[in-house]
Amino acid sequence: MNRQKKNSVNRRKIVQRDTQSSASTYVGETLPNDLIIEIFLRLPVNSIEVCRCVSKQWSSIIRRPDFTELFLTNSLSRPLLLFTFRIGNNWHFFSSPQLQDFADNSSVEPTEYRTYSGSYHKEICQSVNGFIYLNYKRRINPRIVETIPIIYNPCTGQSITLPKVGEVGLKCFLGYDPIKKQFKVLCKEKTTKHFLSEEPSFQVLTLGTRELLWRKTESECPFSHSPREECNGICINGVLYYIAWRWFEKRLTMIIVCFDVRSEKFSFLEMKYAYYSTLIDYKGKLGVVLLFFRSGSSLSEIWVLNDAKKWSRQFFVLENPVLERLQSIWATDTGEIVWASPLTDPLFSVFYYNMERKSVRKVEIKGLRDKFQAMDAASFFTFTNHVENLMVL
Amino acid sequence: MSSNMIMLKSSDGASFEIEEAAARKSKIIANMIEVECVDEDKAIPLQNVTGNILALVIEYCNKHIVDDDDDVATEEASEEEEEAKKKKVDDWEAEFMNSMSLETMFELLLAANYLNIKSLIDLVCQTIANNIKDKTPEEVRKIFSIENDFTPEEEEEIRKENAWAFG
Repeated sequence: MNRQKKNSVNRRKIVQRDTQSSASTYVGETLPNDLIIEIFLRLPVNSIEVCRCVSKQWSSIIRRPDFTELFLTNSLSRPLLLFTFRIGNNWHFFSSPQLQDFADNSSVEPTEYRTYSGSYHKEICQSVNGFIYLNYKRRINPRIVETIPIIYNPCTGQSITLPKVGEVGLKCFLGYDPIKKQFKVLCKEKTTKHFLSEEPSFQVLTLGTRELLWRKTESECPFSHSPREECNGICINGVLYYIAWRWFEKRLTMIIVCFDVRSEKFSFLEMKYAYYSTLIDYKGKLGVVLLFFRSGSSLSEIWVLNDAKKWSRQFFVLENPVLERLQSIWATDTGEIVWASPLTDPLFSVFYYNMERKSVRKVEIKGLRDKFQAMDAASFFTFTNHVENLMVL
Repeated sequence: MSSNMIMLKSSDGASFEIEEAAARKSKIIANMIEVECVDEDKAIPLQNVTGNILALVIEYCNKHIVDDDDDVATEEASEEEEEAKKKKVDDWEAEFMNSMSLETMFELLLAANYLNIKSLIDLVCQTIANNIKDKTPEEVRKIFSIENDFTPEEEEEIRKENAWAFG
């Protein structure tokens, strides 16, 4: 304080001073809510959870929709990579910044979120606007495993168990309509019959409603199809996309189903078959990564859907060792392709492939591998463009 | 460079002379200059800001106006120079914030809010946020002098819910 006062005198020309400055009253408690919100917006989520315990007023500010909306907007401007893995019955969640300007071989410290515990999941599906769709698999008897969908938010710890659908199993996708700000779960019931003989039957559930109920979609799906089992869906600008099989004119083809989350209308796009294909968010547009294995290296393609609903294609080559070690997830943010190394790598890293420069940059995610090694973790997933959302559904 | 000087008067009667360009960092003062044709001999009264806080605000504004001038002088500065300059400003801001107590910070925040100086609001909010980042609820309450209005049951409930955040 002394130094500061001295500086003040040196640097400024005080022309005149009528009175001595009055003794200040403590103002921390009188900060208006909008300034408290400004401070909250600059805190990491675990500190916000601490602030919820400070007072009733603070707790209510943090749960106010105008605050969660601002927090989400902030978070959207700095998307994250999300890593999740299971140790026993616990799912652990970590995030790291989705870096843009960084040197090759840099490293980041991940942030840990709430652990989700209490069930065994075989597959995990999607991260949409901060919420994660998980499948809870419960063995009813040695032959039957029941699937229960769960929506989980690692930032607030809120988990929503959705009501059961069907007897055998199901394939669900999470979608978000940014206009009505609504989350919906689309579900295709699986039956014991072969999928080609099935009538398309889809159910939908709107989250955030008092009573969670499955209902028929507003419009029926006009084409018979079956979602590809191992593929996740992706939601971009209110449209949910997923890869599916379609039997048409005595031929089995691969398609991308487009489900408009708000109107609940289905449409589809034709797609080329590839050994491995996955949907990505390519600069806010739908992209598909298609991999074709050949000896030596593999020619891969990225298809990007433009505004006129036409595909534009780009080619890139990745060495086979990369492809063989590839985890299930691929994605981009500013046009770079991102993938994670296998967990067994000595330095667990994320790779960014620049299509124009054809160069790869590596970022080490510190400390994650130690957790894996130490505790025998399984089921590892990576998501890109993850956002922190404090909204409670 | 404009050397137009204007006068500001704090709530406790201290007067300060400041370059108009620096004063314009405050949207509210800029607005007064535009609309009210500020009289050069008459100080602008700032009812909600005490002299010691106004002194800090002026120090901040002066510092940042000098930076803007640098921009003009070295228009074709290299990336490294840009970076070095940014670092210089960051270092200055860190030292500036470091030199004051939390209590002063809150007053400075209120003043920045009243005078509508966006970059200063950002700087102070970020510094306060950094200060409470790794604190417990008790410590945060102390910093903001907030009373704990939860019943013991409510507090236990909410803390249990948030146990993960306490590391």
